[in-house]
Amino acid sequence: MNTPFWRSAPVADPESSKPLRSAVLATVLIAAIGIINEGLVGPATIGVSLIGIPLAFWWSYHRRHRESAMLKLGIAVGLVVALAGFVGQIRAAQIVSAIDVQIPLAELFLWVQFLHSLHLPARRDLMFSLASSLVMLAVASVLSVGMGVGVFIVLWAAGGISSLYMAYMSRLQTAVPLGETSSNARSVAGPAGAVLACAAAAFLLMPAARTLNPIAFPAELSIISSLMQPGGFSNPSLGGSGDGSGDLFDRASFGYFGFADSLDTSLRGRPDDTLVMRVRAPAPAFWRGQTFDVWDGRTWTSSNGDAVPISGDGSIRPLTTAGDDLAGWPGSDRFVQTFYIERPGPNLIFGAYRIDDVFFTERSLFELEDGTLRTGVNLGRGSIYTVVSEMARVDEDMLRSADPLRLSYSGVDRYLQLPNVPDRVLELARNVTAAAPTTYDKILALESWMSENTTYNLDAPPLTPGADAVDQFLFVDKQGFCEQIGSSLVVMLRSLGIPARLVIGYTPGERNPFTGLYDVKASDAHSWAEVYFPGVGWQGFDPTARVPLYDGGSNSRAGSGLLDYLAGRIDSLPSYVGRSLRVAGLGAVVVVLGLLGWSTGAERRRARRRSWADKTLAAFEDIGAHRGLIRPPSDTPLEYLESLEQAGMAGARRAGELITVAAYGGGEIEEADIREVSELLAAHRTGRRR
Amino acid sequence: MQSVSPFPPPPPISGRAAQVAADLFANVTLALRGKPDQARLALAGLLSGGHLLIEDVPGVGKTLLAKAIARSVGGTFRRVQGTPDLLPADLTGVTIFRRQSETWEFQPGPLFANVVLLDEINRATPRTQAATLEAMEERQVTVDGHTHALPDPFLLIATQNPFEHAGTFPLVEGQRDRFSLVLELGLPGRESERELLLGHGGTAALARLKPVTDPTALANAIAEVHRVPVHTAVTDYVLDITAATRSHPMVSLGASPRASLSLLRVAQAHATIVGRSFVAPDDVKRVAAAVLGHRIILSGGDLRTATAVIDEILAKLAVPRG
Repeated sequence: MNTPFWRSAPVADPESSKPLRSAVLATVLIAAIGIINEGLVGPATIGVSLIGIPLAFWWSYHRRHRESAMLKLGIAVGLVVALAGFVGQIRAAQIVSAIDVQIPLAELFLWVQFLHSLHLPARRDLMFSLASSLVMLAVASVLSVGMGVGVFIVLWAAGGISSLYMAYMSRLQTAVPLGETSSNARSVAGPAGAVLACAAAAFLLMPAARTLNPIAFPAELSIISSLMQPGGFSNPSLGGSGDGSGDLFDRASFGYFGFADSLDTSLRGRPDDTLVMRVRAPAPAFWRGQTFDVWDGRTWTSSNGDAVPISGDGSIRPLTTAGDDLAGWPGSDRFVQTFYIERPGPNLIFGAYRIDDVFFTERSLFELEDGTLRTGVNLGRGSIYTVVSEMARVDEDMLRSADPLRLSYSGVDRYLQLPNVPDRVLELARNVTAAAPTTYDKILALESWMSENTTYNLDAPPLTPGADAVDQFLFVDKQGFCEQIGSSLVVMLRSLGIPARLVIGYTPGERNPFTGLYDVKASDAHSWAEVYFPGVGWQGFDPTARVPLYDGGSNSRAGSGLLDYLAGRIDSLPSYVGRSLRVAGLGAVVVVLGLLGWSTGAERRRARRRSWADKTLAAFEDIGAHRGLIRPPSDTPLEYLESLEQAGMAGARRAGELITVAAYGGGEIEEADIREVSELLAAHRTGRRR
Repeated sequence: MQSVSPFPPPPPISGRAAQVAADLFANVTLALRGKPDQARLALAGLLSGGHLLIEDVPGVGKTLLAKAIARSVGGTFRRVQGTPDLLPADLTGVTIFRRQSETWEFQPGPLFANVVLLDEINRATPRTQAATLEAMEERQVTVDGHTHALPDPFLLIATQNPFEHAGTFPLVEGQRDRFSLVLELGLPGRESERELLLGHGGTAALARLKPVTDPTALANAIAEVHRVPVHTAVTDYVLDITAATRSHPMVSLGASPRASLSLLRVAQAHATIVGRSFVAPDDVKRVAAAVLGHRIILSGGDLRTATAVIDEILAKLAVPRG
């Protein structure tokens, strides 16, 4: 070749199959839309992905016969520019969280995909496109916290399998016989089923992801709107002004009115099943929001005083340890949780007890005396923050051996505060715990008494005006929900001289085995009791939901809980799938179906014209393929059938001659010969030997 | 080269060409033992009406094959040994003055025969080689302004040792293109060589060969071969193959349209020899390397031979479905 390097030279082996190129394009677009669907990349990148990539595919199809060094040079320069843009974005943004890197990275992948699409002369270039679209799909999966990306994974798999199949047929230089015979479906279905089975097994057995050696955690604020009063309280989920005061509790709101400055146990709210947040965590835990310490017989309030601003650069560490000094504790784990806000809620930083570090894009938080953390901004939908908690491993022996007389914590007295409590409540507490030697046993005794003598009922009757809420619950109504139960436990413990407080937060929610995240609904809001153990710290107790003692365990497998999850969703599955398809995948589905329909239709039309020789040869090819003898397209029918005869298929050569005569000789084949070949085929199809 | 499987009872074929082909094949293989493929190829070249160049090292039976064909055909046979001092007139003939009749009379040279064996053609000078061009293509000879038609059929069989360099004049492209196919005989198998030692086949058999046809029957057979029907799919296959030689990256000069026609003709002859009344892609495939190998020029620096390139093309190219 004496062509100068900058001139176009012919490509040795260009790929001309339009169906294959269309299938690869559809697959690439599905992955690109999967990323775009996460709503994070900019408009320029979206335009390049949705318009530029199809145009680039079209252009490279028309240029497939030419090899141009100038084009390659241009693409290389474009790649360098894209990389420089990526590095520039990374450097410009002060990297606070992992999100700051993930979005430019996603954009970089889309640009690289576009640039690569400009030059796709050969089949291997298309296969590279297919591979890099898998990377894009992985990026989309990483960015995703919901199940929406699942639609794209399914669509991508369909597109990818079609592309690979067509590429294989193109390599054999055979027309793509999609849907032509059942044997094609069989030969694809077998491996596809095996892959699915392996994937399911890997999913069920694979260890769940653990967070190790963190550098930057996800953190993001969607719309930054500061609160009126720095350090104040806000809860948009309650409707109205949401500042938690007075009569603004809107029963129509989806939120829980316990996330406020005070908790009135006479109120009867009914939070609905609205998804309020998703939590990525290695194990289930109670997501604490705030605590109450002052009880007046009806309403809980807090004596925390003003919130103190605390700040940090990305990572913000709370000041107080609130009586727990776990630094020297032998068994404690770092427990990383990332919260993805789905609906605007209280400006509380949730987290498992005890929060050690918060990754938050605003530089400051507000901290109350009890360690409750509040944000200075509203946490809108799409906000993300990460909490690193220090979790001490405790067991029953540790709690039993904690010395109740060593109240080393100077501020602990305020958790013994009690108003005038009816005598029968005090008496009950003493009687139930009479036989219990330690604080821990007393708690267990009170819990078991309550579970035996009271009923959990969300529709408990309203509190009689002037009545003591605990007295009413224990002796009159004997039914109630977490507030009555938790308050009763705290009050009775305090009457026995044990420091306790009421905690408001969320139960872990349900783990979605596909995303690995805990889905927390508004109705998962909960209140429970916390008891102070000298030397151990605050420990949660809940007669209804049973706070687990932390033992360092975690979800061992990615797919754990899969069957329970699916069983709970069989009813809602059709509507979920329908909704997701409408929202995310309709366009991609149309593309893929249109493509398949077109290929199938073209093949049908071709099949209608097929001759006896063609059909018979195809039948022999099918039988041969099952014996591992695939016909190279360069084999003549006779050569191929001779190789079948040599492989032990008696009579194949004779059939080959007849096929040759019928195909190229223009001669009529006698009925007897046709019957003979049909019998031969039938015998070998059913595996019998003649 | 792939071995040609013996075809079971051939389908009925009309015309005498098949009988002539079968007789020639049976006769030639009596002398040339153990090389049925090469015998079939050589006869395909002749039945297509083309000329034959046999290339190989000495002692593998080049001349034996040529003589066996000549003897089987019957008719006139002339043999010329190529030497550097061989002159064109030594081949074409000369015009001499007859004193008795006082006229110029043309004295035909050895080219005026049904089968001409030009041994070691590359030892003749290019000038002498060029003298055969008109004879091969036009089947006529022009001497002193007078054109003389050669007998029908006229078949030239040339031999050369391609590995001999000293004192030889390699054939130019135009000359090579005139041969419809180039045959390499290769060494015989051990069995065939044993038979040769035992006196079966070889020159001993050659002496006993009897003609199985005559020039008229052969000319008719050649005409009949040209009428063997060809399916469009097979024509496409021929065109695909020659087109592939033109776009192959290792080939600087691809096959000419004359090569395409030659490939089709030889394939027709091959079909007749194996007893088919039509051309199958198998026929094209069997003869393609021999027909095209000497007609393409490889770009420099490639170590593969031309036939290897043709085989590579055949192994890649899809066979069109009928």
